[in-house]
Amino acid sequence: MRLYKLFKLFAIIIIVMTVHLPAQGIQSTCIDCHGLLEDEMTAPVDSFENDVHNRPGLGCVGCHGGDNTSDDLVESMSPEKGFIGTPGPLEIPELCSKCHSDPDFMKTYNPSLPTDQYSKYLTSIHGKKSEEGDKKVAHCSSCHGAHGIRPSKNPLSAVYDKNIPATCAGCHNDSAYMAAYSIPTDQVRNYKQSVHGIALLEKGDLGAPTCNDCHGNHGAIPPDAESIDKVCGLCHHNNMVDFEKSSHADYFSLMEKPACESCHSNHLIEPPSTEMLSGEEPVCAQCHFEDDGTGALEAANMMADRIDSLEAVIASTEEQIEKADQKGLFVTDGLFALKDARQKVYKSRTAVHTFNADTVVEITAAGFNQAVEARTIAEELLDNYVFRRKGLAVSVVVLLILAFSIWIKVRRKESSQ
Amino acid sequence: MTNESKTGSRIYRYFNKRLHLDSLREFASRKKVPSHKHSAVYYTGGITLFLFIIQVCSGILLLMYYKGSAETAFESVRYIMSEVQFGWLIRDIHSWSANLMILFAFLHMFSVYFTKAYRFPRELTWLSGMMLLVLSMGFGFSGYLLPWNELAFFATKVGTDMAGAVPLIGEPLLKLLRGSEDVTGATLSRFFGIHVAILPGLFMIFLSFHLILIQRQGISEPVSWEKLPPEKKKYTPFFPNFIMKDISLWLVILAGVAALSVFFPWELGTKADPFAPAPQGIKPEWYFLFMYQTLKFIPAHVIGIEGEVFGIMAFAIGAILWTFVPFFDNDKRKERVSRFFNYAGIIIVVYVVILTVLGHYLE
Repeated sequence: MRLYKLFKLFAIIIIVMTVHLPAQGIQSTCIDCHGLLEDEMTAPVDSFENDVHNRPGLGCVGCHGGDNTSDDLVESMSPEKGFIGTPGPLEIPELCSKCHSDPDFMKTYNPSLPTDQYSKYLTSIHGKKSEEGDKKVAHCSSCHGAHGIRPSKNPLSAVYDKNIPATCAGCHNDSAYMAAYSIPTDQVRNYKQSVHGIALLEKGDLGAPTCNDCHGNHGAIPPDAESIDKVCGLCHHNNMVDFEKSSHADYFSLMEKPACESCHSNHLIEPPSTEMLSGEEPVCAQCHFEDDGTGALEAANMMADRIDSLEAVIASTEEQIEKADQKGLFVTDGLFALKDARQKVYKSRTAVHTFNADTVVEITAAGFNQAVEARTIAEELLDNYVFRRKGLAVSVVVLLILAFSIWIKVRRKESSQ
Repeated sequence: MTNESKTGSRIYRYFNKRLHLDSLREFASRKKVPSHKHSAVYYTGGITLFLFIIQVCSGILLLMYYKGSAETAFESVRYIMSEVQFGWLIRDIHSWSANLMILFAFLHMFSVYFTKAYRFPRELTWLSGMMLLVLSMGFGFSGYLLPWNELAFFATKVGTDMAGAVPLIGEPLLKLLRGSEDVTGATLSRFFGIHVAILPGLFMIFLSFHLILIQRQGISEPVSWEKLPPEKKKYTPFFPNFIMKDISLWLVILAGVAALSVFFPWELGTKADPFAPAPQGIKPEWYFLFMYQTLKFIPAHVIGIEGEVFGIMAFAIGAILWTFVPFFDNDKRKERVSRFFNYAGIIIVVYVVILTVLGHYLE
């Protein structure tokens, strides 16, 4: 065993003397030694190979201090040389901020990267708890990793859009870990079943929101009742504008009810449908009831009915156009008209947030006209197809009679010769 | 003699005095076509010519509405198909007859090949025919881009890339075809010009030469007739018997083209977007498929040469050998069948058919 240790030490010395980091040309005794160690002592070396800091040549001493040129174990890791060992969770944010909050320094490596992460972190729940000495809350390496940090646009990064729910779930899905904070631990589970989660995680739509799009990332904080429509409005702008102009905006504010969340929920947002207006449990019935003098439930029913009817007309017209298309007819004009009609469905769904049935009726009426136009085009095409076939039959008969007559005439001529 | 026929003969005399029509009539009455069990092959050339005439007529009609620029081409074809009276029919007839024309040109070529009709004294007829086939494929290649839709755009990209892989002249050839580094509006304008001006001009020259040679040399007789005594050889008068049969076949072909246009119209697809990713399954037109599929099968490197370059060189050499076959298969004993060339021809036909089918069905 002793012989093995001696051999190992000898090997370290030889390697330190000869081996260089080929990619960056940086000699690092940290990597040389840790590369020969085992388990958690060598893990940083392996993962650091693909770390974003490795590429521009920012080595171990950038964070841990020490002297990576010395092959003396004591000297290379001496506090005199600035060695700090493994920084604790409370120290990490400040440590990272030394570079990441310095615009002049960051400009030399990545001018497009913001430098406000640390100041935002201090305003976040995570940051505030950390300031209070809570070592369990998330800090930089909780999300980004320690030695295998990749840019957020890299699909292998823990903070890549599609990976963020799993990263947040690391803590927020762990009921034992989160017990002390008295907050639910079903957010990520719910999110995965939501329209947003399915779009991002199953359909791969990177435009769909993930945790940080609503909560922020470094300044992560739950949106409050006053600001939730602004957050949703970042993507659903027209819905937000319609809602803010509506009479409901003031009432929701007075009642301190969160705008969008009250009807759509937060993490478990299902695809909106007219069921929300006129189904067995309409969302409007949370506040309104029949004969409450507002006519709200009647208006909701009317809006749902108009939208459903328009969708039904579009679906049947679509069948007609599909039929014409299968016959090889030129259906583009019909598709354009149908697209316009479908646009009116989206527009009327948005207009539901005005809570004004007249607006929805007006928009759907335009949609009906466009659907009728599309249907007329489809019917004309199908009529035209019948005409084409009849025309073809007549001309083919004429051509074949002509061809046959000529052939017979020639045959007769030949037999008479 | 009726008044009508008196008028007719007066008109004839008028033109005869000026154009010497009697000699033409005399020439026509002497013209004859061999009649035997394979006489059907004599109609392939006439059908190809008829399809070319349809091409010219439908092409001229399309030209009245087509606008050959990247901004307007797709929209103008859409306008032709949706707004112009019978525009859809003209476009479909143009596309279908173009494909059928190339099909019949191939059939004509192989029938000439297997009947040995290219031998002395018809080597120049064969050469001009080969030139017409190349020009027809050029028509197809240049015309395919003109609707400026997604499929055409990327197929042209793949096709011109293949031209760019030709050793030595590849790069200048690529730029000459595209008019720029990539397939752009400049390529469309260029292809339009080639399709409606350059190729028709060249085609007419070679077609006239081809037809004059046929008239001068007459229709080729089968090899087996060399040993037949003259009394056993049967002939059909070219005028009017053969030409009338030709016309009756043309009418059948016209009915077929019309039926194809009604039941299998050509799609327009979506407008070409140079910045969009290439859709999956981009393939050239069917008559280029055997070459395309061969290039796909060739390994990345063959005897130290890049696979694609090797394939293109092999096709170029093959095409040259095929074109000049009358000068290799020139045995003085005309009755000799020359089995080697027959087997070579059969292998080539089988190869082209199999690779075309594979190219169509394989991804």
